[in-house]
Amino acid sequence: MKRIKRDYKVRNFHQAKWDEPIIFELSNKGERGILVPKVEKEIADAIGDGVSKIPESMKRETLPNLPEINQKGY
Amino acid sequence: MTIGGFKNHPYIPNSVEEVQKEMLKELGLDSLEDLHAEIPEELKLKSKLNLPEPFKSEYELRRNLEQTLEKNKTCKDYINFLGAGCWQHYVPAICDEINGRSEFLTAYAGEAYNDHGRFQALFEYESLVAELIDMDVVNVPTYDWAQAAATSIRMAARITNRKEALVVGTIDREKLLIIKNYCDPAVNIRLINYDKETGKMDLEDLKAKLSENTAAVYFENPSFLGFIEDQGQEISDMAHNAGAISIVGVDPSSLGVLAPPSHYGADIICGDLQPLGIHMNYGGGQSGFISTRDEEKFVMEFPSRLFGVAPTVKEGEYGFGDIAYDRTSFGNLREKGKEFVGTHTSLWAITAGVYLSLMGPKGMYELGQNIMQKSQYAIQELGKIKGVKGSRFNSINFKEFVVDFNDTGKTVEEINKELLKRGIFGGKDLSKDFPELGQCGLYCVTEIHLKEDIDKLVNSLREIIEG
Amino acid sequence: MHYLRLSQETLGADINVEIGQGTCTMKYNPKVNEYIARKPEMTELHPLQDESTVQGILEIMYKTDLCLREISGMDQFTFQPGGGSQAILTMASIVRKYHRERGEEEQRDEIITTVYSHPSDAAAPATKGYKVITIMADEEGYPDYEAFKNAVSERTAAFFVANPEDTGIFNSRIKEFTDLVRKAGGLNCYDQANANGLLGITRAKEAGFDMCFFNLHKTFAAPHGCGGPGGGALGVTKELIDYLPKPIVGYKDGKYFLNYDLDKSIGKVRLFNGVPQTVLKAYAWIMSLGAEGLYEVAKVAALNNNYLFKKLLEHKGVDVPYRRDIQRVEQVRYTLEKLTQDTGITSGDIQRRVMDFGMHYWTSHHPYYVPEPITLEPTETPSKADLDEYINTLHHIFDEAYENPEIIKKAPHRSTIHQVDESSFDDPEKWAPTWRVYLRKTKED
Repeated sequence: MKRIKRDYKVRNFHQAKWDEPIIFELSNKGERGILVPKVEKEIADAIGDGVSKIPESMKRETLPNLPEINQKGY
Repeated sequence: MTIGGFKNHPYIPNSVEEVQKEMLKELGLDSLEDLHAEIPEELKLKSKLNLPEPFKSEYELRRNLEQTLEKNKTCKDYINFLGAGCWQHYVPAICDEINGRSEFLTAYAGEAYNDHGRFQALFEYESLVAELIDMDVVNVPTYDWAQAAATSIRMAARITNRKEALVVGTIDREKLLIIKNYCDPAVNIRLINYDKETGKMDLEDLKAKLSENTAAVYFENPSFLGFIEDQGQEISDMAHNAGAISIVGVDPSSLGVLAPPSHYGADIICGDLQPLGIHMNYGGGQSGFISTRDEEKFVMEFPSRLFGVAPTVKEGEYGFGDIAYDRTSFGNLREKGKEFVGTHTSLWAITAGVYLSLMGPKGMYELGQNIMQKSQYAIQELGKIKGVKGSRFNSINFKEFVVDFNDTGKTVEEINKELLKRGIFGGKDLSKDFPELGQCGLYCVTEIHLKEDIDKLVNSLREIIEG
Repeated sequence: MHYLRLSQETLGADINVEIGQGTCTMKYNPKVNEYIARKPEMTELHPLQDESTVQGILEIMYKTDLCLREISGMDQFTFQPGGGSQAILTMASIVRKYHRERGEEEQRDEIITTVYSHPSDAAAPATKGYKVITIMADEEGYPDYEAFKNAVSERTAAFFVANPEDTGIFNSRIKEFTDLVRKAGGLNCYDQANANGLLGITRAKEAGFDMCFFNLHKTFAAPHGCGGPGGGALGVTKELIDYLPKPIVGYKDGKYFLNYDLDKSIGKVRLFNGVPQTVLKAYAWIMSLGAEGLYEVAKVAALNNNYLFKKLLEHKGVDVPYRRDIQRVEQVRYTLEKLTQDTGITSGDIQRRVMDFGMHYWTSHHPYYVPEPITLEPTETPSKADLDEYINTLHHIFDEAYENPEIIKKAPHRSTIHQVDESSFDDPEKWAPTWRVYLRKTKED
């Protein structure tokens, strides 16, 4: 094998280029990135769903349009 | 006289004397003392700084600092019920993984090419928060919620050309100090009374104080004292009828279940990103966002950077850059720019973006629901203790609530001291900031609290109060 | 994986020879400092915990304060400001309160700054309601003393200045400037963003300043985090301690505590206690260097900078504004005016081409008082080999400008993306600040 020539003065560089989509384009309906703790059964039994007490004018009618992505895909 | 430096230091490659000699020779200088020639002798220090001796190795540094930090008791060691603007939530491991990546951690102000990933991550954060609050434009964040609120008010004052802002009476007194200082002398800040039973804004008082001088009405949801303000639309309408701008500060962790302020008339929305995947860091995790509709008159008043998406010369590529850069103090304007821009809290913005994309719509809903259930449970159980009212106000709360200890014969300070002995950080003592409430504590419950934590709090309080 | 890929598409300072981000002091951020700051004993602290449970972090904040007092000659520091610009805003707030207390608030409505100080030295005081007088540079690059003398009056509230300025030129007559302001009844406020070449060499106090601040994320090696959280540690002389935002960290009878007892305080500038994890990283850095280490930092930062200065000017296309024969301290603002005249290639063009070699440089704040600027600050971090590579690369590109300008005009070629079409960014009909706005404005019928 011949010695590899490394005598150039400026670097032969290329930056990473992944051509990444915008995160919303990675969304697949139903995928979850992380699971949130659920309340204990005793609390649910004692309190109910918690959210029906929110005043009507302050209830969020539709869920935010955030992407749905699995944890590997984040 | 020579002071002498630290040779062969790992952080200073050219502290090696042979290299220094070579470089000095190149400069035609004899020694390092020949550098700093422009600094007059009378201003030069004549002896070395009187600093502690440095640690002699990385091991010794780490051992000492870790030992010092171990004097702290953390919110993992104790059960924490403190909130008041800095909240303990679960931080997904991925949030730390991403904000610990050296590329993001060490980047600063590169261009849209070499820092393409930074620009895209910040654009995505803006876009994700925009969906959460159902608004169009979100800034690269400022220092914290208080600064975001102060800047929102200054933006409103410039848009309306008016000099007074009306601010909700239940605002955090620390935040109020920040807003007042930042608005002094440009905008006068007046507080609006609140209803003693519900905590909500006193609309009669609002009506009386609104005038042709009013630039903005600022209120919060949930309020600093934890209750939900359900008169949002009325407040916004009243502000608009007076020619003023409606500004709403919001805790984004509530927005899976609560309506975003854009649904009840807010023109400017602000808040803190800290609950979105950022550790408390003794207050170092705060980060303030500001949002408006995509209207030129609003957009042109942001002092912050706004990253937008655009095509490149190559079909199919996303590029990014600064929107309306010249409005900022970094643009051509210096003191004629909108306020100022500098180093704020971008790493937390990237983190909040990661968090929102992990949580998704369902995660944010479940988070909100969990917090609603837990806080209602805590209020119910606390209310069973003799002399304790689980919630001082008769409104519905999110995450935080005012626990009334007035009828226990004990001060919050005494109670918190006893709780501390039992490994619990009790809620913030409100007796100084809100003397009209007497002995009340602001308690915070999130998804990190298990039933057993709340029960331990209740049992400990029962022990302390009932004996 | 999406965010990991985005991180790879970010050059950052660790893998970049980050000499090019002048004024920003892009030094190495020690990994051990980050490791310590990410332990739960730091991250899992609530800011309102009982003082007895946060003695460790308060001790670190207090000891950092003591170190910075010695480094600057000031008498008390606050760590509330979250960055340099917020520290300037805090200084301007103190200036206003100070004159208000003395009944001179209305009369003193002007601040003076210099053209090569950071834009925030003009913009933050303007936010606090001050008229701004900007002193231009004289023929040698120093702030024009005669113009300054004429500007100082009974209306002067304060002087906000960086020294060395962003040109790297140290104003050796600084004491005469601060004396003039003091005699006229104003305060002297020092922007020490450019302090890296001065550690252990000269201090704010001896130069006549009443206040100064350090960027902990620049000079003291805390990371920049894509633009914060940083830390703007603000120090004042004892006459001004009472004006500081509340609280400051105190020490009494063996205990560290938060001191709210400041009777002329401006109130507060940032929630809670600033950015304590940044203070911790700064403290770790100081304690790994000591007095001799800081001195070495300043000397090597100046050595590296003057080496770069000399070698870079060996190319015909590049020059510096003002005299070549005076040393710069820790950075230099260069000009490519001649290269642009000769070849039509601008500094902005070259900036894009540098990225094809895994490097980066910054031009200057706007407006460009120096034509076709480049601002380079090597700090103590690069080795001689790094410096030589950087110099070779710039020289290579300057040669290209003369020999093959097209390659530069179309750059970057080997970066993550190609030239951005910037035409939408200033057009309210077209700009797309979020994904939802983009989808709306680009909707196809």
